[in-house]
This record gives sequence, C-alpha cells and structure tokens, in this order.
Amino acid sequence: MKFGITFQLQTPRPLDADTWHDDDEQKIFMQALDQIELADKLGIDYVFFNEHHFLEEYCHDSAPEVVLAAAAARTKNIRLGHGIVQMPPAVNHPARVAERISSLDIVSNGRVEFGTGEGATPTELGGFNVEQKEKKAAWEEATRECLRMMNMSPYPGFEGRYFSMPERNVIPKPIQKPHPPVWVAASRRETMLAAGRMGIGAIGFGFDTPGELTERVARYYELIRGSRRPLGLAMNPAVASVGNMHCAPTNEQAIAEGLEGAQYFGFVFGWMAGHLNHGRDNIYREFRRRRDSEASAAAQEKATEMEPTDESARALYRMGRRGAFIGSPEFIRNNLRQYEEAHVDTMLFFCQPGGRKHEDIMESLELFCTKVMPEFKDRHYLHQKWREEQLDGVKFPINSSI
Amino acid sequence: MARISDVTDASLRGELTAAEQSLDEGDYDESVRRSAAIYQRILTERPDLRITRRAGPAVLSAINGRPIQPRFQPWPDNLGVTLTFDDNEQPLMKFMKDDFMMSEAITYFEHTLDAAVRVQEEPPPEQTGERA
Repeated sequence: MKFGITFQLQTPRPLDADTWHDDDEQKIFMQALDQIELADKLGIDYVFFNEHHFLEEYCHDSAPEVVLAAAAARTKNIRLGHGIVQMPPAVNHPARVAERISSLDIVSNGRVEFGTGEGATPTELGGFNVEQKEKKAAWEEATRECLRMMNMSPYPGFEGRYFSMPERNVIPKPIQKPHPPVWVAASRRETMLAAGRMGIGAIGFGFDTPGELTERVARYYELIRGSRRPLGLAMNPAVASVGNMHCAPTNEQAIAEGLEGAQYFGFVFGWMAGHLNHGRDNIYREFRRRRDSEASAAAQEKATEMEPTDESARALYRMGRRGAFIGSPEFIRNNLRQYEEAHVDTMLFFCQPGGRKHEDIMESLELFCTKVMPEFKDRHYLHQKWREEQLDGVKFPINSSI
Repeated sequence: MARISDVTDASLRGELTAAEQSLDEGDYDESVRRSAAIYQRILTERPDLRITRRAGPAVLSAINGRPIQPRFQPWPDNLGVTLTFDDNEQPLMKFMKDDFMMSEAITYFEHTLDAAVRVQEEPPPEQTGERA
C-alpha cells in the first residue's frame, strides 16, 4: 500500500473577528508547504491538492497548480497530484489544463498525477454557470481531449458540446508519456466502476470502509481487465481511498488534537451545500456554538445512531467523525491492515482539517511515518504481485505510479 | 458487487446484457435507453421498492422508534433522464436530452444492474407478510 496526504487548505475564520486576519491565509499556505517538505523527507509517496472555488473556510485551494509548483521546488520524490482539476471547460479550459499539467510535470521532473473531476457543489458550478446535469458529460469531453492535446503534435482541433478550438500545437508536452497517470474523483460507487471501465484511477472520496472497498476494488479490477474504450492513451489502474488522519502517542491525545478538525470538516462542507451568505458567515464560530451547546450535543447523539444510506450524505457523515485514523500508532496500524487486505492501492490522508495546529500535524506525520508506515511499505511488493495478477491480459498501455 | 451473472431472472439478464453490449459497442444513447427501460420495469413490477422522495422525510415511518432508510440509492436524475410518476403512480422515464456520453451511460447501467440484483435480495411484501 502506498500513502499520500491531501490538502484543502482549510482556513477557519477566527473566533475573535468576523473575517480572517491579514496573514491567516498565507500562514496556512506556507505551513502546508512545510508539511509537504517533511512528508517528502519521511517517504510519503503522494501529495494531492484539491480544487474548490468560493467555498469559504472549507477550501482556500482554488489554484492548486500554483501551490503544487511551489511544492515541486521544495521536494525531490513525492508525487504531486491534482485531487482534482475541475474539468468542465467553463471552469478550466482543457488546453490550459494541458499546458499547466505539462509545465508542472516538467518542473517536477515527471512527478505529476493528473486527478480530474466534474466539480460538485452548486456554489462552485453556479459561479461558473455550469449546469449540474451537464457536468459529468463536460468532464468526459474535456478530459479526453486534454489528454489528446498532451500527446498530439499538432492537436487537430475539436468541435464539441462543451468546447471547440481550431488546430493548434498545445505546448509544452509532459515528461511522462503519453501523459501523466489519470485519476477521477469517485465519491460514488458508480463513478468508481466507471473509472474501471474507462481505465483511469479512482480516488474514492466517500470515506469508504474496508468492507465496501473489498467489493469495489475486486469489481474495479475486473472492469479494468474488460475495458474496451479507455479514456486516455494509457491506463492508470489504481484505487485510492481517503480518511482523516491524526497520529499521536495515545488515542486520547490524538482525539484531543485531531477530532475537532474532522468534526469541523463535516460541518463546513454541509454548510457550503446549503448556505449562500457569501463573504459574511463566520462558519467556524457557528460550528463552535452548535458543538458546544447542550441541546446540540443531545441532538448529535441522537443523530449519530444511524449512518445515512445515501452515498453523498454518508460521505458527509463519515467526514466529520473520528473514523479509522485518528488515534495512536497501534489504532491506526490495526485499521490500516484492513484496508491493506481490501487491496487498496493508496491511502490518502486529510491531515490539515479545520484549525488543527501546524506543530501537531508535523508531529503526527513524523510519528505515522516512523511507527506505522514502514511495515506497509515493506509489504508493498506483495500488493504489487497481486496487482500484476489483476492486470494480466490488459491489452492497453499502462502508465501508473502504484 | 453486482454482476449480470448474479441476476436470476432470465429476461432481465438478457436486457441487461443488451444494455452492456450497447455500452461496449459505443452506442451510449441506446445503452441509456435500455437501462432506463429496465429500471422502469423494475419499479413497475416492484412498487414497494420505490424511493418515495416526493413525500419527503415524512415517508420514513418509524418502527420500534427507528426510522426506515430507503432501500435503493435514488435514480441519478441529474444526468439527463428523470424518473417521474404518472397520475396512476406508474414510473415514467423522462428524457431531458438525446445524446449521452460514455460516463453517463456507464452510470445508468451500473445503477440499473445494482438495482436488478438488490431486487432479488428483497422479496415482495406478500411473500414475507410484511407491510411495505
């Protein structure tokens, strides 16, 4: 199993002011770069940066290509992933995406992972006038053509439903040929299965359990083997799963330092889905008010009795909980073994949700990488053997970092 | 995880095979039409398994103090095919567009396949004696 960290650059508003202090955002950005530099030195395999727009406090990472470029300059080995680029052309024109991905691949010496996605919330898509019912189709058209642009000289041009352009040579070209490994954000089961049929990696943003993943990974690789029409010019057979992670010497310390961030994560995402008071709400203050009130605690206890069955609601529910990776090294290790048995290729961890302290995050990374990660790295060759069996008979070229 | 071979009803299995074949041949519009027709058939034959979203949260009736969760994931309404119900409460698939992409066709196919397998796992109420 491989490991990565993934960032949203969450920036809660302060409790003592209605909006951020002048240096709040910069602090979060620069601390993230320090965390990535440490992760690289400790042997973490991937860093992924999300892309969201207008989602205040939840994600201030609206230009991940910039932050990833800064990370490229400060690191040597860690792979640099978009988790994900929003591909509807109204948000990111595919030629510009091809240019940025290729440029990042060059300056990082071939370390890019090209995660793609449709976009999710009405807040974001509405800001760019993308209709919800068109986003999946727009993603597909734009991603397919973007990959062709990275590979063809010249690109012959395209007349599509969501964008059109004449013949041009889109430059530069990436170091990784025919293009970097491609992923898609897959918070829903059907999207993971679609990723299998289309020959691309799936980043499972549904906070899936080992039981769910055991079934899905098996079916995913079955569909990879049977894939007739890969989306790209090379396949990336890979499944990543996400979780909130904070590692401390004891469970109690991990929960004290890390749980609030997870709870806030779920709260602020839910807030973004329903509230549109742009530039005015102090969401962190509201989170603390509700969390700290007695009535709220009783309501929360009642609400936690049953996990939603709707996949989107369930992801939100799990996002805000302790889950499997906030705890001592032993706690995390025991849970990770179940994910390893499910044959997940890569675990991606949110380490910086909410107001989690930078010093605590750095110590957590150090502890995780020295006390938990090594045994999984040592056994990764077994996973690769299993993976070779899964890919036996695949007829298409493969470009994957797993 | 659902596979066509898990479906015991021969005619349903045949329809799903045809839908997947259209998908594999690149005829995504036909695949979506077939998947939508299959799903409509399932809901027509098994009205007890409908997600009655129209009724809202109140439809989740409580038994022994615990709410009942819907059995199926809702039909993906936002990809161009909308599930509606006519005046006789019969399911109708309404097509909001004619052209579909591979990813949309896959989504509809996998959703329908999953529903076809889950239907087998949920016997009709008259067989169990339960009220829906």
